[in-house]
Amino acid sequence: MAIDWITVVAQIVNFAILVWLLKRFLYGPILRAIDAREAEIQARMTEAAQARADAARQEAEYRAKSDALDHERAAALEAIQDEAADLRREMDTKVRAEADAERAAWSGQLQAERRAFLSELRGRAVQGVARLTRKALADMADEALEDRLAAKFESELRAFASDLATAASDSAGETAVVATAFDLPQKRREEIEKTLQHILGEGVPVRFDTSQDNAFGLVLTFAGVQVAWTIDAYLDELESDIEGRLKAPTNRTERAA
Amino acid sequence: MEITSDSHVLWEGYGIRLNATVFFTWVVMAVLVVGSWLITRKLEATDAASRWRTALEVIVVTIEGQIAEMMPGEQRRFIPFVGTLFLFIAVSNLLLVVPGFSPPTASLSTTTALALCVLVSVPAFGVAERGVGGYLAQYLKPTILMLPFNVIGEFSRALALAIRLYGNIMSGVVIAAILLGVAPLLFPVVMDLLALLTGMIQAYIFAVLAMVYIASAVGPPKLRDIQPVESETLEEER
Repeated sequence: MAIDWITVVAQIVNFAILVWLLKRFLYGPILRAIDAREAEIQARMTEAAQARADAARQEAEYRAKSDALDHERAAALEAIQDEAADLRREMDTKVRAEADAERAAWSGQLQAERRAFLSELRGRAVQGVARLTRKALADMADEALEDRLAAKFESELRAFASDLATAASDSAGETAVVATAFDLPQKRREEIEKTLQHILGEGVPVRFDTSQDNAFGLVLTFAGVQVAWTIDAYLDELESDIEGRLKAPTNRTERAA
Repeated sequence: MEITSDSHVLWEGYGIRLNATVFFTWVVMAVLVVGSWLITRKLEATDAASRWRTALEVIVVTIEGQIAEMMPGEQRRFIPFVGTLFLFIAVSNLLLVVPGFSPPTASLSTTTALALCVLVSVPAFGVAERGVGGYLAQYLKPTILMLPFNVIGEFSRALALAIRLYGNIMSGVVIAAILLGVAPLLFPVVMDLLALLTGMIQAYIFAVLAMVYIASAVGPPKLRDIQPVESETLEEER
């Protein structure tokens, strides 16, 4: 067990060289690589943490924006709904007003047509009745309608003689007006005038008013008193009957409308 | 039978004698240096780690970890010396399995050289860390009467380092050689396996003891060398 000191020195030198070489080719590069990798990992971790923080911040921002948009959308929707409701009410009111106006116009037009129809019917009925009665009397009794009406009117005047006399006593200088729808024969005029002067007094003037617009018959108007002998009562009954028949379908139409 | 490879001269000329110890030391050095150069020559931090690079990183990080266990803090300046001690002894002992290879660590000259390196490096690191006065003052502790014993202890532990490594490795080689003559089949293989294990343990012991001696010379770590413990690490430990 001897120690070769030359070998010892050589081995010390060899070991020193080996330390330097390994430091140069092993420890240095490996430790630098480890440090660099750790630094890179740390940088990535920091970057990831920063990215996570950015992502969280952006998420919060987008969430806030989304909430704001939701609120805005809800408010806009509510405003639109209110506006639509107002518009609907306005249009409803307008349409109802237009419908009411049209219905009123239509009803007025219908009433006017009905009145015109009834008026024309009344006239035609008067003419027809007069023509038929006149012809029947002429053919079957050899009588004139106007004569019979005038004769009957005279008897009616006598029936109301007391009332007419009272009216004549309360009046002064008034004219007794006899309205007819047809021309009276002169003879009948004179008889009526004579009868009236007998009832009312000799000084009372008598005037005959003949017009197609007058009621069919004879009507005396004097000092607020009126004595009439016409077919208006029949015509009123006929008109009432026809008007009743006309109103029935009209009411149904109105209900349907 | 040759007990030491120092006397086995491989080449002689120009007044220089190349014995087997130095030659196989160069072989070990070549293996270590060329291997390291091949692996680390194109090393980039962003490269995908190869298996060789990973192996080297494991070795270096393990050495760093062992040093840190004995000396907390940033102690990278000790890695080249202590790591080279371990790698040189370990590779020398591992190459025992190569036929014809004679491990330089089986030479008392080599182990003496390594022990002398430790003997010199201990005061060198101590002086570098604490200054000449500070280092020498520790020989006077606990009293000045301990000065001779401390000096003797300094040399005796270097001697113990050299003898321990030499004895263990040389005995393994000698026993394998004896058994090769007595029972040439199987049994030497078992002994070689045992010698591999012993060789790795001796490498570890030599390096650790060297680090312990250096640590005792350097003294307790300064506060600046101790890395602050991250709060995340504490939470993970909890």
